[in-house]
Amino acid sequence: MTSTLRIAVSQEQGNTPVTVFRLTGDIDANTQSDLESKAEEVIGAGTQNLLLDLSEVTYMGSAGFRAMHAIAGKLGDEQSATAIKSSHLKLLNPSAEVSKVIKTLGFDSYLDIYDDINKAVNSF
Amino acid sequence: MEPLPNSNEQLQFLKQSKLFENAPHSVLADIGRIATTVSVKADERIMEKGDEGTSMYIIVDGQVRVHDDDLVLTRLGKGDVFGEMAALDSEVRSASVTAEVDTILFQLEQSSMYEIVSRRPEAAKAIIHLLCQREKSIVHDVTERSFKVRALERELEIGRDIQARFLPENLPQVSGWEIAARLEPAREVAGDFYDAFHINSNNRIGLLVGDVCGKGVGASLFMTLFRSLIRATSLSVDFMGWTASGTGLSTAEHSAAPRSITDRQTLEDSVTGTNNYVARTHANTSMFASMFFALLDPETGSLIYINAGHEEPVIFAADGSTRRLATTGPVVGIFPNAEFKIQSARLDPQDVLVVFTDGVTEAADTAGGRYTEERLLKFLRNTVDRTPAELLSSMMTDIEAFASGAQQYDDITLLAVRRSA
Repeated sequence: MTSTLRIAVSQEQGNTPVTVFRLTGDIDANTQSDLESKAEEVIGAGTQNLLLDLSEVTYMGSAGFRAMHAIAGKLGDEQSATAIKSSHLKLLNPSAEVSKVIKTLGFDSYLDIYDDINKAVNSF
Repeated sequence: MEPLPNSNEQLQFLKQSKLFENAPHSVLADIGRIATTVSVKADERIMEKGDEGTSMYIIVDGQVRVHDDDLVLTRLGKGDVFGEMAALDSEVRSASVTAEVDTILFQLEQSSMYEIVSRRPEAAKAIIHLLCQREKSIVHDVTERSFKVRALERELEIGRDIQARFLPENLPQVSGWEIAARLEPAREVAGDFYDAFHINSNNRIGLLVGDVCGKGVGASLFMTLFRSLIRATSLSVDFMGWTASGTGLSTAEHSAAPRSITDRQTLEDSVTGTNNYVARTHANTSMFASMFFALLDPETGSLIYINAGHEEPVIFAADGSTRRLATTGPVVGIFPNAEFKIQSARLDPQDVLVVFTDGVTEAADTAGGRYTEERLLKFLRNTVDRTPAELLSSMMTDIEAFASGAQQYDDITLLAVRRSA
């Protein structure tokens, strides 16, 4: 089974600039590195805040969560402190199925989740 | 880049090229007449895999890469030849070719080539010589690669054998209880794990099922770490020769005051300790595991557990009811100082506890459909009166039947515990 992930990058301006990844497809062991390298690329180019739009993500496996944790770390979120919410990486519009996995793995305590892009962009 | 060659230089160049190095002057002159000089810019695609093609090329100057999407098969430079397979045999291109720098090529058309070959046996000889050289180099490459693949396979086999020994060789035999487990890795090595072991100091049975994120070698390295840390921390009292009764902090050597440790402390210390160790020591790998870890009191059937971000295990009670054991904390290994709550449950006679990983519910068929939790629960409900070993064996058969030959995508792990009396 080969999965694919498309990443469309756009820039939004809230209180501070926010890069938005609109993701389409599956985030799993096959595509996790695509997400991580795209994030590294924009972080290298100056991105400090990243919003992952998950509306078109059909499946998110554990490898996808690993990628999100790694990206939050690269955005400068302290990983050695007490588990606190990431202030530079946030999520938008996960499907019911993806939301369930986020909650099961406990990532809802780590990443803020929004259902409105304006609210999400202005939260940074 | 050099200027385009004139006809004299063209002949000199053809003489030096790998295709015509042994060809007589008359053949070179003919070839020179039919060769078209082509200039391509850096990054320009010269041919696309799957396209029909009737031209072959000789590189006069520059460099190209032969590739299949992102996979670079080889790089070719001055005097090298490419595209001859499709040009000579009217097949589609077997790979794509892209210029890496500004490049000059001689293009030879199939029809003109065949025309020369039909008149001049020396030209045919030159082409046969080229094809023989190509075959020799392919055989050499394939042989070398098979040696490398075999060496890697041997390493993986060793890894698989060692990893298999990280799983318990025998599950605890406890009167009135039956325990069975299955682990089917998706690849040579697994990121899933299970364990079942006696904790003598408390007279408890530790039951553990976990799933490290991702799969393959990376996940398998962390599987050994998580499984070892949980077992070592929960058995520290046994290892140190402490006993569970009494109070104080001394070791058995000072048995007047052996250390006291409750089940709850054992459970909490092992999961919290493992979490904080991995989160602090290996934070930069972002590796984590979901896990269900329970301590069972075989005398009473009472169970205390931590479900750290894991699929909810299910208890099938003898009266037909079911109970799910929901998460009590996040996954282990990435959230330092995360809180893991302890919950309790009870297994009465004929009750069955089944713990599984998402490799079961997400097992896919050839059309991409998933096995799903509904199907898992329905299957278990209908077969729950079997022994745990039979139950898991029929469960695996059902998953295989569902997948109907589709490649297994994730590790599959199942642990079943039945209180028989």
